[in-house]
Amino acid sequence: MNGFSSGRLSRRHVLRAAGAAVSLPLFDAMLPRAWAAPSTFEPLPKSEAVQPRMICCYVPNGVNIIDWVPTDTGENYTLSPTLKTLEAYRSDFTVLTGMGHPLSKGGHSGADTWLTGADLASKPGSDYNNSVSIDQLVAAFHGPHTRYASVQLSDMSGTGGAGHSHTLSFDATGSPLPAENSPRRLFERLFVPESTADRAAALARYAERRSILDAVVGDAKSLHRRLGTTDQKKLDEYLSSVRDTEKQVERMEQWIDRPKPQVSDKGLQLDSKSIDAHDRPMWVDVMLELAYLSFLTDTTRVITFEWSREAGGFGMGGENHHELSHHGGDAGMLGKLAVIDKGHLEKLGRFMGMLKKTAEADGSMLDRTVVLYGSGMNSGKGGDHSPKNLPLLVAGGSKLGVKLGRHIAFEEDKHPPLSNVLLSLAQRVGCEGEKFSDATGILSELVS
Amino acid sequence: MSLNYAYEIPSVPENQWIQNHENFARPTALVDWIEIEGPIYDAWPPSSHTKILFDSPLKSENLNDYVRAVLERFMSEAYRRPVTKEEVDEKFALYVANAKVKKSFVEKVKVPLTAVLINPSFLYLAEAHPGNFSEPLTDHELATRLSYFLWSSQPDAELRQLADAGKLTDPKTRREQVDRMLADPKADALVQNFVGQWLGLRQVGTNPPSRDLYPRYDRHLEVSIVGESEAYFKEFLQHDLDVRQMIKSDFVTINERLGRFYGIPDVRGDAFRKVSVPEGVSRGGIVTQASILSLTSNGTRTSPVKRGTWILKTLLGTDPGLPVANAGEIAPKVPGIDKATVRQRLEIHRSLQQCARCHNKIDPLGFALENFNAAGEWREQEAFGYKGNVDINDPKIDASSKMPDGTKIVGVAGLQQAMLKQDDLFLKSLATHLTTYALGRELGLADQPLVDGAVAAMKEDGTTVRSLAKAIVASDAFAAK
Repeated sequence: MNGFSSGRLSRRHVLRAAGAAVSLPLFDAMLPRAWAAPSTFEPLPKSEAVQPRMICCYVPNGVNIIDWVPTDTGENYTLSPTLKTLEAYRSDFTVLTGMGHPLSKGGHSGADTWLTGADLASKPGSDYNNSVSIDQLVAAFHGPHTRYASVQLSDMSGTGGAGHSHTLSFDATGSPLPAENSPRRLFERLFVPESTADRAAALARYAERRSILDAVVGDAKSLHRRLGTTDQKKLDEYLSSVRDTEKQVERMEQWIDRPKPQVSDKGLQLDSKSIDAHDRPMWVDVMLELAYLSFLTDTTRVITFEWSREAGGFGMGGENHHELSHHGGDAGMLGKLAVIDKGHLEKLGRFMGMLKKTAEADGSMLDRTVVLYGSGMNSGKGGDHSPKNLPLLVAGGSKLGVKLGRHIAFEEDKHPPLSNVLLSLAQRVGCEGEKFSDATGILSELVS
Repeated sequence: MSLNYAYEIPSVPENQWIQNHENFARPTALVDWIEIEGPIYDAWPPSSHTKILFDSPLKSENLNDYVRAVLERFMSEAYRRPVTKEEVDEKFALYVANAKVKKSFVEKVKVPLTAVLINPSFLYLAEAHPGNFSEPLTDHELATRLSYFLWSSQPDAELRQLADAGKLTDPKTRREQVDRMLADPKADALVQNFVGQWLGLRQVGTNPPSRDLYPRYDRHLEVSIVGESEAYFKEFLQHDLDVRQMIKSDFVTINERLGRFYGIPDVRGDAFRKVSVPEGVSRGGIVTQASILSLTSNGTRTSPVKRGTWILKTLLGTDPGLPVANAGEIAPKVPGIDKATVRQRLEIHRSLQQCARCHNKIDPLGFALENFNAAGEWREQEAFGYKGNVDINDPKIDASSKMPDGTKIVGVAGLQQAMLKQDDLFLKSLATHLTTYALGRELGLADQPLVDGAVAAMKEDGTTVRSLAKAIVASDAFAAK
């Protein structure tokens, strides 16, 4: 490493004299970025994983609510201009209007509470306090049977900041679960077998981790006894994350002998970049294709997908989504916002189409897949950032008891809490819990 | 190896005339070849290794005793306090238990070291005093408080020695340490972390000025404006300037990029340095810094309400409270007025009584800053043209306002004069924020005497940041849980 000096020709000399071009390994950064091309992925004909599952898709900044809300209700309702995009799937989805989370402030912290319904300011003296998200309740139920209890997708990886979450999922202590934004990394995690073929070495590694975690828990408990109550609560969060790590290690030990499913990456645009305006349509497509493959292979049964974090995002043509949510009622901006909404629904329709084309048991994958789609804020008629009358739709799950093909309308100042929708869907997917956040019961208009 | 570049090459050149003309002559750099050599170590094994696995005859004489010694030194540094024999024994047991499966000595010793680094006593600043709130801290807890206040890092050898000798309970020793610690380069952490939180610099870039309307605002500018505010505070800290000049100063701390942005000539290079403000340039003081001005805008236009609120909360220590329910957004157009300025659109704050009550205190402060647009640039007119261009007929900025007590002020200069008249409010606000930062907890009513005392002590000693820090550190509250 150090020594190319003392007597010998230094490398520098050799290079200069020879005028040689040194061939360096091809770094990622050196490649001209291949423009991500439209997807050529085809859904598979049949699914063997006959299981209920759920995916929650979030779009930021609200929608053009004027073009979104249909004027009439019930099963023969007229599709609104934006919802017309899903005309081909009319009998496969239900749109709900007028709902919201009573405790949420909406606005650009909408993503933080969309699946939790929490009041972020509920704890005096604390700036931010969240609670468990509905997908984690489902994950606790189905998790033991799949390699990944749940998968979090987003356009920005990690957890993001408090109030600007990059993830929709929060665990039992209200801590965010970090999300993945890279299709390639996601593919590797889900479908590429681990390189360490040595089973014994892997097991030894896991055993070591468990012994370290044991030691840590002992110390933490003795520290716990010597702290005041507020400090104890902080330490409880730590202990909870230690226990989660222990459970993860146990899970890895249990799954060590089960190989990952063999999935080809043919046709998948794994190099699409999430924050690139040009790549946006390709990126949304590939993430939904990976979600589809995860369900098909029963790698997981619970997925949350934040299409963009709040105040971020692009339309399918690369438009700046956030700016348009500050339309202030301007007709031109509202028109452009509607175009973005339709673009999003096209992608959702494509995803539903893939699930519908794949046969499963006595129907298609879509029949046992609950798809929740919506936003945590409403820009209303005047560009404000309200938590009321949130855009929301539910697709799929017909064999699980979800009532589709209708418009269920509520008044924005008098409606059951949105958590009722979340709880109802969670129960249809198999979760047995009867309580969730501020839910007051099941929404019988939506589920049987 | 990674190549990290912080500056995005702007896609829009700064001179708008050039915007559509790609083929003009401009300087270009052509890189012929790059040679990188490394990694280069001063010594092998590197010091990071030998600091932990230090040289000792025990290594060859008695390996078990050596491991115990390594653990004891590592743990007392990591936990920031002396460790008991039992604690070392527990970690040693981990070493023994895993020694059979590991091949090398380094692999074996890493196991207990890993356990130490995920231990709550390392990860958390634990002041283990159950229940009783005003119990005095131990010397080691004091050393930790001092070092995390001024360095955002753990105590160094000198602090640990003073703690071992029981000297830190004496306020005089703590005051002396402040001087030593501020002279250490680690004190940059105080600047970054305190100013980042106090002025809200950490939010810069979360809602940036729109590219379309403010093409001059790019990544390089964003990095520079944050650096400016940090360098400004550092100037006050390290050169013991009277903090009241933060309201209005005759200098700025800028780099070349900001020199161009603010219109201050002859500044070369990317480093920040103190520059006198030339005649006719309205800069100098926190409220004139682009970081604050862009932070308190909403990306497409200025927000006098946000600016007023920011000044009240950050610089004057008063909280204007929350808006009435359903206040909503301000309308983009005012019926009857073509090209309504932001100020005109906010008229509704004065016409409605329930809004006026609070907004009469907030809006005037923001209006005085209307000469600064949403990116912090100076302007004489409010732009209504295509892509943020200023049309000849665009409305002129009206930066006059009336304070709640009736005084009329005009522009940022007027605002600064008004604030200087109430400089005690600023001192109290700064003292409150720095005390909160130092103690790591919210202040309550019981802490008011502490803050008042700190301000009084400051004034007797040049009204500097240093004197404030010393007053806080010497207080009883600092030495108690």
